[in-house]
Amino acid sequence: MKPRWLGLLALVLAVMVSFTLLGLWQLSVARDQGKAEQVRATPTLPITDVGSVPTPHTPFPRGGDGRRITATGRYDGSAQVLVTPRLLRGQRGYWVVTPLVVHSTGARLAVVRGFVTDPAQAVAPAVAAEVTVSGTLTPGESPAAHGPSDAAPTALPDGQMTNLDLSVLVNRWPGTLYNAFVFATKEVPDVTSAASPAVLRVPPPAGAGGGLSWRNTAYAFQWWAFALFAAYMWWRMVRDDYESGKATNVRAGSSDSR
Amino acid sequence: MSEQVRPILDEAAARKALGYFKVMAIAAGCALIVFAVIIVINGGFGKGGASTVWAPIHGFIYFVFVLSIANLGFKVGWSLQRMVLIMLSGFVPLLPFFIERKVAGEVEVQLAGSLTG
Repeated sequence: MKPRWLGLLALVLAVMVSFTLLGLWQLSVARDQGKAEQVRATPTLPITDVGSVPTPHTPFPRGGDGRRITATGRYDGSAQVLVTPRLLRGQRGYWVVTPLVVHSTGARLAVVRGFVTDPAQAVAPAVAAEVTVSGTLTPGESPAAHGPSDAAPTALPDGQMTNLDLSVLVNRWPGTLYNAFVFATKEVPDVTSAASPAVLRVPPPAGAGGGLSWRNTAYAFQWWAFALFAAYMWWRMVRDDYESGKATNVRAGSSDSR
Repeated sequence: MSEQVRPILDEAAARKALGYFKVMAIAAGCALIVFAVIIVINGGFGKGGASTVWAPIHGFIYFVFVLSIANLGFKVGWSLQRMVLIMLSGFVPLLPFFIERKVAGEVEVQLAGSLTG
């Protein structure tokens, strides 16, 4: 092994490392763009009535995450729960989750009406009022989604929970339940503000999933392909040099190369 | 392994590699022009549109072009610098066409020399 090859090996390794990192960078760009694409595309889907997207007691619909929906019904304020701890603009507090008895199906839909810092602010709206909720559809949280909180679940007061776990709510709330919940962005009439102005709307989170941008994914793989190619080049040059060295030794100095 | 010397050791393989290189140089040259035209139409780098589809295709063609350069280079005994320079020519629009003519001419001479020599 000649020093020249070792130096070149260092160069090749540097190239491989940087190309691998560039590939990873492109992959992250691909992910970001895929997500941005999804976030951009979802609001352009027509706003639909909740009845036509998920049906009660069926799996969460494909592509339903982030879907904007409307639902008309009456809040069942007595069954309201608080999900904690949640953050909004850096403040710790509670999500106010109230079942909406959807007029067209009679099933219950969990609606995140808003966020409060004090449970006393979460005043339930009057049951009598018919209300049309506009919001963003989201699949229910899994029981472990937020891990063990510093306040153990057993320590939580009645009507509070750590996760918006629909499998818990389906046992707690009467009737059928939609396998989804909604971040309310608007209510007509605005019963939440009327009941308690302290309840702040929770902005719907950006879609968690999202595809990969094909262009940047391809770039990522191309960077990696070139990284492998650099290694191949090095190996091939060393081999050729070794083979030709052997050959010239055998020929004992016959100078047929310029 | 057959014994190797710096000049062309396997003439048939070198000819094949040269043919492969010629095809890929033209292909890469065309792909690059298409790419450049798309970029100009889109009004600059980083814009979406057709380049989203074409960019990775161009990248792939370029990769195969680079492979063909290495394949030829090893068979006719080029230095690393020479190979890298020819590979970089794939980034300049129109240049692959000139490189293809120049390289093909030189290798033909070399091949002819190895026959008589």
